[in-house]
Amino acid sequence: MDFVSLPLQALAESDDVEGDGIAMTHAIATLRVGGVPDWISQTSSQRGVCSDKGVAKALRKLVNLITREDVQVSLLAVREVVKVAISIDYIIGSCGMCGHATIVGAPGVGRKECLKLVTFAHSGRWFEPVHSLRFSKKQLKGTFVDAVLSAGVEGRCSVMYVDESALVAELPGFDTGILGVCQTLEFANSLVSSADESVRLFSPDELG
Amino acid sequence: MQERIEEEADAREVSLSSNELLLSAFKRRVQANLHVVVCLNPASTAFVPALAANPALTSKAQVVWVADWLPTSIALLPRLLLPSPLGGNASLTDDEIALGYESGNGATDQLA
Repeated sequence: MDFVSLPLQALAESDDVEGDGIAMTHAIATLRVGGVPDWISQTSSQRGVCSDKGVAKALRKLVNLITREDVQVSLLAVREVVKVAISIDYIIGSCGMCGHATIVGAPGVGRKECLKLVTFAHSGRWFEPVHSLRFSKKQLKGTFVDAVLSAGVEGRCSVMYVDESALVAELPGFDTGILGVCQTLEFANSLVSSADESVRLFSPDELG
Repeated sequence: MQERIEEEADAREVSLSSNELLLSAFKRRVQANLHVVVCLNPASTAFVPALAANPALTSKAQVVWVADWLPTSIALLPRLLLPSPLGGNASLTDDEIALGYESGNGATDQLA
């Protein structure tokens, strides 16, 4: 048995085989009744107990649900994936505590898909810098600013996803340093290290 | 930004008297709601330098190590991705997938 967040637990316990929106509505309602964190206070989210099988069931339902939102996720809920999902759920659901994660693993084992599904289960917003040809430092900063505003102003659970492609794909216009240091990771590092850095993303004019 | 936070505070009937208090509330809110997740490949040559240059990714964030799939899990893939020779879809249950069992042959889970 594992400790999981209430949305996952509700999805696991629901008899809705098709993974309909009813389970999600029930999950969110349960979460709200359990206590939304006060606006300026730090609280931890409530947790429920669920088996590995239940989490696998919840993941399969989430795949159905997220596909209806036009987000394509392909995930095979094997044991390793279930364990990762439980870990990520613990981190994303830990409100006010250490809510950041460094996921280390080979590509293709389901890291991003797990994260997407758990973010969806928590009704979170997904932010990801897209390294296209015309991507600039300004756009990179803009992506981080959007995530900070979503979390700080709207108060929504927001996940800023950065993957290893940032290490190798930074393009002209970026000051890619030595030793694989890149600005995407530097932004992520600053936000993880201190919440004060979130304010420094804004100019004094924007703050005023 | 300040106006948006004040509007939100008014809506929730929270009093934010000064700019410092406002910024403090904003930071706490960011800390509570923003989750920065970095995915790295340990086989990459840039893995160790990247972590060395960004120490907060290991000291202030939780590190989740995603191991490679076990052979029992990989063995399930063909049954899920390929159609059954007898027709119809693969018939793995949630339990089998989650636990790495092969149906009909008893438990072959090597983790237990």
